[in-house]
Parts: sequence; C-alpha cells; structure tokens
Amino acid sequence: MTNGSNDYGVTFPQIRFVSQLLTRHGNVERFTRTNDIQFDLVTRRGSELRLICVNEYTCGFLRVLEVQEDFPELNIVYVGGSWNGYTMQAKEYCIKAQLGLFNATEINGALYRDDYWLYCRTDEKGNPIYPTRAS
Amino acid sequence: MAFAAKDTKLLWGRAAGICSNPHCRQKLTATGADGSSFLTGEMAHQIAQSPEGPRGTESGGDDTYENLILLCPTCHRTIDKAPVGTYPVELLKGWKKTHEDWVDGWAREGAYESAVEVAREVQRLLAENHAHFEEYGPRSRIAAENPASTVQSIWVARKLDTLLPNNRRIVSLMERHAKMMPASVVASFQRFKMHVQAFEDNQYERVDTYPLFPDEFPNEIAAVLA
Repeated sequence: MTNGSNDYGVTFPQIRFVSQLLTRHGNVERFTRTNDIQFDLVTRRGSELRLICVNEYTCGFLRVLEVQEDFPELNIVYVGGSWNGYTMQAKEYCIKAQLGLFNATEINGALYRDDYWLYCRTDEKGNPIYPTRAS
Repeated sequence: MAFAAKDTKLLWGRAAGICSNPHCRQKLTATGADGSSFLTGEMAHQIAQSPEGPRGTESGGDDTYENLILLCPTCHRTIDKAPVGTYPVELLKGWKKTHEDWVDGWAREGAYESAVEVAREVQRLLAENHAHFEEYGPRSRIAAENPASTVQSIWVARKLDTLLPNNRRIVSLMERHAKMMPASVVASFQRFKMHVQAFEDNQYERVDTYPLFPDEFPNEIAAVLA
C-alpha cells in the first residue's frame, strides 16, 4: 500500500486503518483504492459502494456537500477515528440522501447492512447512539 | 418523596444550592416578599426509580446521593420530558461532577495578591490540560496511529473530570483578578474564555466549527512570569 496525497488532510495511518478494515471485513468481497482516499468496494451481495475517507473532528453539513461535489457517486463518508464525529444536521441530511456517514466506531457494523445509511449503534434500550457529542 | 437527611445534605451542600446544569446555574433558594426564605431546587433522579421512568433501568434507581442531581424545576422537567437519549445518565453525571468541582474550586482558589501568583496557578492548570490533550486527545499520537483506539474513552473521562473543571477555574481566577493583569493578557483571556464556553457546549452537541484554543494565551501568561 503506498502513501499518496489528498486535499482533505487525511494521513496515511488513517487511510491504512480503512484499508485494513475493508480487507478483513466479512461483507466486503473486494475493493480498490484511488485518489488516495477513495475506496470503491463490492460487497458479498454484489453491491458497489464508494467510500471516501476524510478526517473531520466534526463533519458538518457543508463538508458532506463538498465531499459529494469532489467525489461523484458517493455512498459513504467515513469521518475518521473514534474521536471524530458529525453534526446532527449532517447526519439527518445523509439519512435522507441515503448516504452513509460514520466514524470508526460505526463503519464496521454499517458495512454489513444493505441500508447502511440507516445504521447506528444503540444503547441497552435500543435507543440510537450517534457521535454527535464531542469525544 | 422523602430523601434521607444525609443524601439531601450532601447533594445540596456540594451543589451550593445552585442548579447543576452548567448552562443554567440558577440559584435554588429565594426570599419571598415577606422576607422568608424558600427552596426552589429539586432533587432529580439520574436513573429513575421506576423502570418505566426517565432513564429507567430494569432494577430502577435508588434515592441515594450518588443517583441524584440537584436541578431547578425547569431543568428537571426538561431532562425528564425530552426525547429518550437527549439527556442520558452519563451526561447528568458529567454535569454533577463538573458542577461540584466548580463549587469545590471556590474554596481552593482563595485571593491572590499578585499577577505572578495568578499566572503561576493558571499556567499550572493549562499545563495539566495540555498534558492530557497531548496524551489522549484527538491529535494525540495514539489517535493518529490507531483511530479506533479505546483510549478515546479515557479522553472523554479526562475532559469531564479535569479539562472542563480546570478551564472553569482558569476563567474564575482571571475574572476575579483581571485588574492585576496587563491589558494584553486580559485581551487574550477573552479569546480563551470564548474557547472554553464553546468547548464545553461542544461536549453536549457537536458544532462543525468553534473558537479553538488561543495559542497566545499561555504565552501571555508565561510573559507575566518572566
């Protein structure tokens, strides 16, 4: 795996984390990486998804729009590690647009779902947990 | 509902009779027109007594100090009526801890007699925060090398029990001793104060941008000590 460059401030260790996750993921048949942070993957059920790896401590609505503009046919925005998250405004937009928006604590579970954009972690009572509070 | 005297005294005492919601801090005692004093505070359960209550669990919450938080009627009603998950138990615990630390800090702050003394204490608190940020924060080596590291939970805990209380102590110290400080220090402190407020607000709901830590503030403090 080679180190490239990107305009989103994503470092190689972060890209490598995503690559390793996809390599081991039980629902990812194969994937390719281009443009340094673009991952085009095929699930075991044959779905083709485009995942873009960014590094946003808090990914806002505007940032999602920027990623959409820079990477056509976008399916999932991965915002970064456990410390990172997103605003509720961004999440609500993505759910409506059927876009995935996840951090490191969510991406693994999301990729098992055909309706990945709806995936969220839940507490013991089944209530959704979103990383919309600072970590 | 009757709470044990010990739990009542602990709760009211440690909260100093002030609403424990850091965004409220309303006084919970008042004086009527006839000169008599009365209480407006409410001792709210973090985990409801009943499993069906707000933030309820199977076993239900008890009436001990540990499970109670002192709030004004509005905040009590807000946390109980809000959609499930808006005010989880962990958030209320954080409020309570932060609030009690803030109150506790009053006794320890004392009055300083010189700008140097104030700057020394502020520098100590800033250094403590910086150490935790460097070790566990979102730009730490650990976060960079392992984005999914569970060390992130330590960062969350340190923010609640160290960084946020330290920030408030710094704000309190600087405001109480502002007249001693050079104008340049006061100016950079105002930016620090905005950062502190935004940083704390961000713990409860993320915003995509807010005033970051002003790097010139510790330099200004160091200049006082030079």
